Amino acid sequence: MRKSKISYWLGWLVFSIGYLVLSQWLASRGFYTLESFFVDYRADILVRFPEGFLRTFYFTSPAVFFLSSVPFNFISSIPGSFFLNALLIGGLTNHLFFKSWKGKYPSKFFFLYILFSPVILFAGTSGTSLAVYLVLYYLLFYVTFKYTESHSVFHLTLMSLTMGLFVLMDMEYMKLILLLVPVLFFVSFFKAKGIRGNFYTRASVIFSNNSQRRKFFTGFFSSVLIVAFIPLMSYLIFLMINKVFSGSYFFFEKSTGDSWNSYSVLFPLISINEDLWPNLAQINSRFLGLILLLSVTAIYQILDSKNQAAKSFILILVILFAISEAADNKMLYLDLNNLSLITASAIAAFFYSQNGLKSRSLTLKVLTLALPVLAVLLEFGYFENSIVQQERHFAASIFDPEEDPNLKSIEKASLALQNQNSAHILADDAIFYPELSTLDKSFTWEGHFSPYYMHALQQPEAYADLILVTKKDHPLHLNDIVATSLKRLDSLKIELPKKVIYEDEYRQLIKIGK
Amino acid sequence: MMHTKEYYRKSLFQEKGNLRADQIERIEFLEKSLQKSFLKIALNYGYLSRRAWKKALIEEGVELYQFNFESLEAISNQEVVKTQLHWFLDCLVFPLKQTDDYLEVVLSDPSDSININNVEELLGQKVDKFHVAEDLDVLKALHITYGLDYLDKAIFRIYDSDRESCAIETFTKKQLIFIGAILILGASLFYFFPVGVAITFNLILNALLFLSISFKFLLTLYGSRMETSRKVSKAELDKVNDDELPIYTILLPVFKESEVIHKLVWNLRNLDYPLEKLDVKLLIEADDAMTYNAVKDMNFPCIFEPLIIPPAQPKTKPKACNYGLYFSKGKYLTIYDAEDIPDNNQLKLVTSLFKKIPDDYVVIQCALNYFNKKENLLTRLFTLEYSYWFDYMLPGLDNLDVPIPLGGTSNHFKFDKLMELGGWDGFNVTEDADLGLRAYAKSYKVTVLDSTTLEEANNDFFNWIRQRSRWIKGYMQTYLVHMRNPIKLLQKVGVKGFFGFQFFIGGTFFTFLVYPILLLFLIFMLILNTGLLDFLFFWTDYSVSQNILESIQLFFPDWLVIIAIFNFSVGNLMMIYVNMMAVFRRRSYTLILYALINPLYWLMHSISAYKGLIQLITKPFYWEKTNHGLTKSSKPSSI
Repeated sequence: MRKSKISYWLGWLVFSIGYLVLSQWLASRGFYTLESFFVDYRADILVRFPEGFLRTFYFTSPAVFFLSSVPFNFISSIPGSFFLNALLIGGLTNHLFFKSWKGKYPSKFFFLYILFSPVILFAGTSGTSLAVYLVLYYLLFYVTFKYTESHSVFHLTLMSLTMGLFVLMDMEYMKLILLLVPVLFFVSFFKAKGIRGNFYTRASVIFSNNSQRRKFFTGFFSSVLIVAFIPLMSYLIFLMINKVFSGSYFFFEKSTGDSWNSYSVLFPLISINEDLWPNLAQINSRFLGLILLLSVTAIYQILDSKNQAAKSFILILVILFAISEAADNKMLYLDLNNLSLITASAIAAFFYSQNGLKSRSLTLKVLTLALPVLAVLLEFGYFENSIVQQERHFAASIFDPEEDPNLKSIEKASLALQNQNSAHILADDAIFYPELSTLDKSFTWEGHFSPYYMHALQQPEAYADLILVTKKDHPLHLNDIVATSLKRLDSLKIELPKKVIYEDEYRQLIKIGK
Repeated sequence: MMHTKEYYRKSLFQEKGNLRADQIERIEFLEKSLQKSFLKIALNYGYLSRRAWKKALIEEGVELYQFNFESLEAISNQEVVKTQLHWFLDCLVFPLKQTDDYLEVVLSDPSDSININNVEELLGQKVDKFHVAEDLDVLKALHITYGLDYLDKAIFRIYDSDRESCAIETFTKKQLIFIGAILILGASLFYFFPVGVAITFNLILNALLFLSISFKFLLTLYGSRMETSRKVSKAELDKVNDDELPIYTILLPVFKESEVIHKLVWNLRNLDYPLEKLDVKLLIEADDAMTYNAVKDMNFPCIFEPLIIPPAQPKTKPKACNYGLYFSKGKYLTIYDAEDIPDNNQLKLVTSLFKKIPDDYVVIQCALNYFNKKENLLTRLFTLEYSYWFDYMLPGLDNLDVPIPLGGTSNHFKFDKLMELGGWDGFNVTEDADLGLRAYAKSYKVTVLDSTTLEEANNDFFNWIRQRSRWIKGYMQTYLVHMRNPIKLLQKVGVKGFFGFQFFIGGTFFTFLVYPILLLFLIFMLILNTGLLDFLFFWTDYSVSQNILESIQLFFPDWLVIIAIFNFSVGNLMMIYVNMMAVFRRRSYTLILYALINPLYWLMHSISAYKGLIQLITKPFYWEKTNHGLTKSSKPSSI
């Protein structure tokens, strides 16, 4: 027992180190994600600016990802988000490794997919919130599969807790409850006491008897309430905190700078390849191709489900849900944070059902062996064609690394800043968090978290020594509040004593004063 | 009156008592196997009602002897009676007067000549005169005259054998010094650093409340993990052979509960356990005329043996149960309240489980729930609470191997181990919780069983407050007793057990005491922040709220208020949720929404907690009596 525990923890450590090393190797090949910069930056200002503590603590989004990353920020050379990703995905991989090890041969072979799946690798190495989403999706679906079998309150509660964490990642994920409602509905038929037989027999008995029908519906609605309660209450508490903090229940929707892409969801589409636009067009279905590339494992699981109708039912729901979400807003939902629910549910389905499978035909055996290879290849196909720049960049960093002009610009601007001695900076930190996150303790700045930000924008010379501002080629130039306020001062003919000390295609660093 | 007339069993029991010949034959069989008198078996094993027996005696022309209990005195040969008290109780004979050449006794069955012969043999002389009295009167006379040694043990055994574990002393000197030192230190620090101390104090209260509730939530989750497993399978239960079952003692402590005695009889009859292997003791306080008369007047046969507790302070349930221990004959022993409806196979399940689990398990706690759950709002809320407590929290503690505070009833003991532990502490008003911890401290274990006993939920507000204040006071007593030497406790129960004890016992009363303070604080801040106060001061433009807010901001900064709101909201929601989970498991779906008003229920707990705290200081051993039999519901609602 003790030995197996030690080997479990050791396995976790080894896999985590593996993901961490891989993330650094990818970084050396020019791979970066703005979300990891953002989390690093917010963790920095959480302790650096006491006046912004509450806002940073409660309103940084995704909250679970951010707050879990903070403790790992002790090493300055690697952002905490990379540690968290490595630990989470390392833990998941290790968990699945032990499940595979104890399982039959298909699961041992399936572990190759876990090890080489680009989705899992991306989650483990990118420093983004995908790691948390992937683990939560896996948990949610594994527990849901278990609930279809056990009908226990324990699994129902875990579903609710996982949903609560989803809501703390992003309020919009409350919609996942809709996905669970049909599952709860059908499970309620099998929970009815004293009724035996298949689904149709049960349904006919329940609907032909008043008392049974009443019990059935109260049971079903109660199960929905149990699942929805924690996410709903998480939402409610969050709204209350908003109200107390700012006087508005929906402060989090209006505030700026609390998420890595708070100015625009278009941000991921910087320098977008025009070939991708057809995927996003309203009137065609090319986006289905992207979903299909991620769905091969799930489809296989749907087909390979003898006597496991619930598993197929849930997986079909998952794919339909992903399609309907993406069709609704491709710009928002055609990314891995959303689509990885297909991957995670398929993995959960595989490990949930592997013990139930008995004799298998030759075709199935061959398919089982071919599946991991096929799935990995198709997932790489997804990454190469993704509409999200950082996902495409991930694939490119592995096979064909190239210099990213935006990253280059960030690095140069950061260097220019670091060359200045202890200065007070005015910048729009919803845009310049990558540069600001590299500064040491001798620098201070005004940002959205600061109560004096508006004053500083009107009188920069009174509040700052340096101004970091976007130029018009920067995709977020129109959102840059500092750039706008400088233009305003210009239009009012208020002249600042300023000197440009660094500039490139996207950014400008200005020194104020003589 | 001296009886010279001959009495015959046939005439008394068969002709006048209406017992059938086969019943008489069966009673005679049991008389031999159980070594009890014929009448005792007939009255206590469901053959003859007390009223019928009295009627039979009167019809036979017997004038019943009326005791003057105030003036009863022990006979000169009292040592014989004391050492043979069990025999006298079984034979229902009371030696009234004995001199060198004269012996006068009171007995209940004048037709039982063997009994009379045995008395003569024991006391060494012929019976010169006998009276006939009702069995209950004879029992009462025997207990209050000759049971005082047992009574003394029932009250002081824990005190004599393990003084440190006895709640007779509420606060030890060391504890008082410690509390005083903390108060003085706090006041001094507040004098020098008022802001820092106020903020720290607020933070500590919040953190402890949050930790305590989170612990309960996690415990519930952990307990729910085991909900699908059955400790004793149906197959194992089917294998139970009635002949191999041991004698099982059931203690039924009652006080002024004449209302529920009739229900009790029917509930006991439903138990699936061989009747002759049941040793059911109805523990009646000597001065409880109400219950005493109700039992005397019962017009249908019952299956319990009344046991009269001699009058003494403290008048507590543990004292009564301890007294009952000395007259118990079972290998296993359990306690039920008079109105309890246990699962009919509960005793068999327990015996099967005791056989399965290691020897160090000495107590099995069964789940409690309510049969009148839908009677009113209070019973609904009570049901929610008991459902999560017994279905999830205790199994959670069990799985974590943390000390389990036993519930009031349906705890099944190995009798010898219970005696070894010294029984219950007669000075602790939650003697059951205390016993669970004492068992754990002596390296014994307690486990739980998924079998339910339905009780009567308290349906009256003031009655509920009384009951709850006793429970919370008992938790405080238990906490103080076991924390007399925290290091010793830590060594005995280990780190896990120690923290489990802190959160589960200490945390329980702590949360109820702190809850209204934090609630008031939040309401106060809400009134100030929303400007409601300004609305009340409508005649002035001056912002009263703002002014107060500014002046207290130093002590209650915004971040602290937000933490307090978060903490309080999450804490309440967690408790609402565990309530929901528990009734969902029991499929009492219509109760789920009532969980939403759990915060109100907690306020009621807080009222009780403060009442308990005051009583802990003023009347630590006072037993707040819970009235039973108030329900109008008689049948279990849907379980």
